Amino acid sequence: MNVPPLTSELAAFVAEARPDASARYAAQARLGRALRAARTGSRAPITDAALRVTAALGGPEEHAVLGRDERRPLPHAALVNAVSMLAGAPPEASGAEAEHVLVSAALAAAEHAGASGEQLLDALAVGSEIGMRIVAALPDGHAARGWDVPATTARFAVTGAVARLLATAPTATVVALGLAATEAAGLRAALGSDVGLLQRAHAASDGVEGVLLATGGFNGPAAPIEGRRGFAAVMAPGMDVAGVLVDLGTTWRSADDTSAVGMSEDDAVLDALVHASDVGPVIGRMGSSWADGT
Amino acid sequence: MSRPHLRDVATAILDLDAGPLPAAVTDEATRSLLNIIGVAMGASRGEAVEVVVRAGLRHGGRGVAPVPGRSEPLDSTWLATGTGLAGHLDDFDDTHLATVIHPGAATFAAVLPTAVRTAPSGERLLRAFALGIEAQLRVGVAMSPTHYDEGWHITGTVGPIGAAVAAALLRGVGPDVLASAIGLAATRTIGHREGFGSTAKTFHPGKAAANGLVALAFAEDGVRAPQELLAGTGGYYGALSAHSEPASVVTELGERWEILANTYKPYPCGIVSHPALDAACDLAARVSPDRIEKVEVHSHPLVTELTGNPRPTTGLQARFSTIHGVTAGLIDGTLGLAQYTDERVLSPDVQALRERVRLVVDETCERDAVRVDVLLRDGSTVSSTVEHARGSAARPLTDAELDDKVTRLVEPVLPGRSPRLIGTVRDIAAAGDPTGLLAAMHPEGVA
Repeated sequence: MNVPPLTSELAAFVAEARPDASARYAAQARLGRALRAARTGSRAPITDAALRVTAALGGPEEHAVLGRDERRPLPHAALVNAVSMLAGAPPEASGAEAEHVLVSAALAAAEHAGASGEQLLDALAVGSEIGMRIVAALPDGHAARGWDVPATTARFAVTGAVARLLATAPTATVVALGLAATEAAGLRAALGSDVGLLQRAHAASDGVEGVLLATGGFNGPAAPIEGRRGFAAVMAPGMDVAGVLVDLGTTWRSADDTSAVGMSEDDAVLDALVHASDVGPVIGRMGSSWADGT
Repeated sequence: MSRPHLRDVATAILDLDAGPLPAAVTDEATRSLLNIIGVAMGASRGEAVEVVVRAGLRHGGRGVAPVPGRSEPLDSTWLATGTGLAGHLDDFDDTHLATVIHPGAATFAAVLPTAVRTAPSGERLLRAFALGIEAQLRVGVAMSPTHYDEGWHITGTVGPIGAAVAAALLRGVGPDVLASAIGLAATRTIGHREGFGSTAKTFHPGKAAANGLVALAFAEDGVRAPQELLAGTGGYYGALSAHSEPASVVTELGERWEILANTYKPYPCGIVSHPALDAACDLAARVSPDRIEKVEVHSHPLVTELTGNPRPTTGLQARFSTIHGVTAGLIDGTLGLAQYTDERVLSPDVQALRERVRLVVDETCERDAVRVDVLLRDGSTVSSTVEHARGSAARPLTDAELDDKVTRLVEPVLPGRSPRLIGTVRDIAAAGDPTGLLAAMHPEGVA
């Protein structure tokens, strides 16, 4: 049985996809939910821990930490914001974990690239589409074996969004998706603890780092997801690899989200973000005073 | 204790760390350390290392130390990534044959930045390095051979744990922190075998080391891992292997030492090729390449499975091509880094001869053995049989051979440096601090 070239098709999708209005609407809803979570989570003890750990490593203070006045280098901003969003997600938001990880990385990459709000939404739509299609293709055995699905799959979504924002060549996106595949990790036994939260949040920084290394010159296997010893074979035997690609680019499964757009507390911030010609200054204003509502 | 809790594992490691290492373990740890430093220095100018260094300089923090052999200080995690990657880049490092783990790279890559910050005695450094290796080898043994057979690059899946243990011991942490560091590291495994022959594979031990350091940092900051994270339902062993024996990690700890079975590669390529490469170098002394009609390599099934690429186009791919290694060995009579450059892989004489070389699966052949038959144009056949490959457990590299290997690796990078490096590492157990070791690894005035 021929296995379709999933990874290279996804890489082409990252570069060429044109999200429709419904996909952008869903992306905006995800962005709003993640920002609302960050508003709360930015004061969580585990966010403080992530800030301390990344402060010890140092690095250029280039990127915003939402709800805080500290700044961090690109991969660490993605990590800390993911920690914050995951910590602030309300208990009823089950299922939002991977999208929070995606949004945290996309915001940092958008700030880095000077992307517009429209480009940010497109990247979120592309990342969501990849992540949700891979999740839907997983066999039950993946989670049954012990894998934490948001942790193992979020790197794919993050990689897609970040590669899109950084205008990554498809050949490099294949390499980055390969790093996402080989770094897929996270255990169900960790859930309910801060370790479970961190294993998901690390998908944000790993995904960002993977794109940086791929564009820097790393090479990788041609079929890291669908290959004989790739993600599907090793971690998800029976994965519906072909199903991931069905109507990719024409049908936006990630658009199946009819929840309300907005943050309720201040829709103006979300509005400014999605209409910005450069999201950087808007994100830069989302410090502690934003979280305080002042 | 069929399913030991994290704290059981941590306590056992700390108990072992409380006493001196047996002399044989000290000796083997010293050999492992010398080997991995030499290999990392030899690969320090490789393109993939350059990529990591550039990324670390652009996005990383205050420099702690450079990758061995280089001069640009990187922060802890980028240094760990670059050093671990360099240690595995040329596939020239070490191998624990029972598990196929290459333990030195991730462990040393975590030790290096931590030692810069903690300034341990040489004995303390060596003990942490040895126990980081021992811990990851035991975790690997507990799920071997199933785990590797399922498609995992085991070096990356046990590496974060070994890295976290080694760094934690240098930091002097207690059982709760060590337990959580191991647990956090266990959630950040890395490594599918699909990446063999590419940078992705060489990245595994580097990233494993960085993940181990970050795991320790969160554990030291107070994050606590569930006790059943390794051996419980939904835990590490169950996810990573259809069959495992978690209790073996702490069984006979201090009596049975897996590090004593660590071996050092004489050739910069996948280890299953090594018997055939011994034979090729042996045959080169007896056969001129232009007389060769056909070559048959009768070998263990894993040779075809893991290194069966008949037409590699890059040096990295050639490391997983027994046919390339045999071909280059037959022509050049030796196999070092020069035989695994892109240029040599694409050279006309190599490309022409390797079309005449084929692999023959021999189900009865041991993994460290081979028979290579060369059919000559005059109709005669010349053969070479290897019962135990050089560098295997039955025929380990001698200290002199290891010193020679390190010398060949270090001299092109830092000319004249190898005697000092070798002497410093061989005397590391008596050193008061790591200053001399750090200085020996880097250009003058850098460390």
